[in-house]
Amino acid sequence: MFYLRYCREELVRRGGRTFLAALALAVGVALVIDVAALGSALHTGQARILNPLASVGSDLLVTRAAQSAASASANPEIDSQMQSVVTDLSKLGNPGDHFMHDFFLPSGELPLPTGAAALISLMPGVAQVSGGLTLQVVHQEGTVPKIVAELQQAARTFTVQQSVAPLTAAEQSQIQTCVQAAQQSGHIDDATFTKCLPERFRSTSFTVTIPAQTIQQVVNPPQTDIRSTSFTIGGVDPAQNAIGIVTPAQVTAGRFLEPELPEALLAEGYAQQHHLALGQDFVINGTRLTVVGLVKPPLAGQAADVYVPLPDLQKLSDRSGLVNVVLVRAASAGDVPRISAEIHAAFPDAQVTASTDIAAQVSGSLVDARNLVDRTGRWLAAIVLVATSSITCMLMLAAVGRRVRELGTLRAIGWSSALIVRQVMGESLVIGLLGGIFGVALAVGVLDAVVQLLPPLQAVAPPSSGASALFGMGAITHPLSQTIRLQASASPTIAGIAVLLALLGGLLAGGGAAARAARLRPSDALRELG
Amino acid sequence: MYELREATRLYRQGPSVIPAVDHVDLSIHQGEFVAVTGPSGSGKSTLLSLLGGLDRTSSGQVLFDALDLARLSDRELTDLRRHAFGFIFQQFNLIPTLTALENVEAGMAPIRMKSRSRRDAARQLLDEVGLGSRTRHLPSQLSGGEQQRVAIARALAKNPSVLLADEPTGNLDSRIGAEILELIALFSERRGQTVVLVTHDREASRYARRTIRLRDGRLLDRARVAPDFSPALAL
Repeated sequence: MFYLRYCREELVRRGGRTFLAALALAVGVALVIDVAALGSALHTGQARILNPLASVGSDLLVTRAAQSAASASANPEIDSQMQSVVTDLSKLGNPGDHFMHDFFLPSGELPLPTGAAALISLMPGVAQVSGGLTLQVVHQEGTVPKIVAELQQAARTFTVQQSVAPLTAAEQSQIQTCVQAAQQSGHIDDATFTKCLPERFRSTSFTVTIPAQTIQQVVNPPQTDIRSTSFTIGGVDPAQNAIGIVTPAQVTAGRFLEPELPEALLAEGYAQQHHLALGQDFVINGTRLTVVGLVKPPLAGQAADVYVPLPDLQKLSDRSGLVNVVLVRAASAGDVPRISAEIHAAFPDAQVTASTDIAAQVSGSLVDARNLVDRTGRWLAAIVLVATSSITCMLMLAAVGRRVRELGTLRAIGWSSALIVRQVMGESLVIGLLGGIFGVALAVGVLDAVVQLLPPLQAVAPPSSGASALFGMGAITHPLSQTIRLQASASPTIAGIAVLLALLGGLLAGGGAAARAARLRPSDALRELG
Repeated sequence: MYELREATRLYRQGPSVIPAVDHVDLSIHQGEFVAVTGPSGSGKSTLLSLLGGLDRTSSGQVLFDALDLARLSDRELTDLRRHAFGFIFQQFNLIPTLTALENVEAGMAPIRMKSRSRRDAARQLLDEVGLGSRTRHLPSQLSGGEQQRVAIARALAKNPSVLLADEPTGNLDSRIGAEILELIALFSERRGQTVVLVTHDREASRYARRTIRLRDGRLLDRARVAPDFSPALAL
């Protein structure tokens, strides 16, 4: 068809203009696609990271946190448990023996009342309940020190000389009387004279001889090489895979715990830091637990370094039957507020946390990037799209301006205004289509580059008190963070919409140009000839 | 064919109104070759625009086959230009992105006909104007004379009853200009077409059977109405 050939020739032979106009639209389209894709990826990433409760199969987390980390030691319940960390060196073994010992300390959450989990499970709308126990472990390892030292002492003789107080007048009178009596009897010598002296003058010097002996002395402080490290430990019910402080969803290597087996899961970071691998034994107070899996704990969740079966932890820590966290899954999302209120009513000092409470307290580059995209990215994309459409429109208008003679000639030789408008609009549509296709290709390329070049984004949960306030490990004093590498890809739907936008942009641009062409009077075109 | 009665076209230029064509009475018969001469600004091209339905009179009438062109709608005027009028311009006005063949086809594009027939007709016309071997060339690859031949072929493509040529030799040297005029004369004679040739070249006007002179939009000739005319006599 002639009109299509004309359109093709016009676009091909005016390739520079076609390319520029299509490129302008392509930039706008690419930006729209990329901003949408990045926004979606950031939201997905954030949803994944910021929804730890969902990732552990829970809607609500019930804890009984201490007032704050700073005041935790003032709590009598915690104080009593903290006593256990005072090491009695005399009980570690014989001096020189190697010893290892683990002390279990409260993590910042107080134990929940016995039977709390059972009571919550009976509340209407509760689908599933699981208890957990998180504790801080202080691991001490080293050589039993020599607590008592033996000192050999040689025999020694002491001569004591003593100064005595001067004689009193009564004593002088008494001595005088005694001496006179002795003189009168005609028998006076040193012994008799000595007897006349007061008792304290009778032995003014003496010699003390101490025999050789061994002295035992307590050494304070004892010389020792004891090292203390600490880690957090979580007790999880292996029988409940779907809900727990850690679930099979968090396992990144190996497998989840099997019921009734002495096994442990390690957090990836902890395993890496301590060079621990799958299959190795993890020993707690002499109990050997085989490392069967590595996990990536959810951000701001019940993060721990080591996870073991709950009964084992209760037994090891001498906290039989105790839990300090209860995870609750509701039958439906609509039940969550009511269940939360009921738990509050049943356990007034319990802290009930829903996933929505978490998001507001998490920061980091991931959140910053999402906020940036939310606040500016979409506006920027819209502005750029309008700008690029305007540029295309101007290019098309300028092109029509340069084609006044051509279009006027077509009018003179019998082309109607409608035909000319159709021709111009057709060219614009093709430019819009090209812009859309280029834009999608450009978007995919740029997105790929951005994903490759963008450093991993980090989400950070508040440390200690904040985490405790959330529902986490009060004992952890460093901020919990999790990094994520964006997995952004252009959505076919968004790409389709963007191509339609490009076509619309082309139509808008062509519409302006076509309107100008339609207004063109053939006589004006002829006059231009002059 | 044409009957102009007090045809006037006024243009506003600032506060003043200038008559480009001023009360012109004129008759042009079927098959007649009329040259319109006059100095620049005398209203020649405006008169041609009125005759070709490209512009409308401010007052008076331009009748074509008894149709008052000023009263026709845009659509009707377009239809007339599509079928009845063929234009030849001083600067050829070929579409720069189309080949010679496609430019000729552009003249027939709005007419309903099969694509192949249109192409064959265009090729034949280019043959007739001596450009059979240049059909695939772009205007920029053709000389001025060749471009004007393509323009003539385009004007003739729809076999119009009137050829309206506005300074067709203005951009050509005298030899090529003469060839172009001969070509126009030849085809118009062969097809019995009316030719209105606007020119200020006295040599060009010699191809016409009648010359009309304009000055300041007014006809200078007394014989504003053509005498009895027959194409046979004209030839």
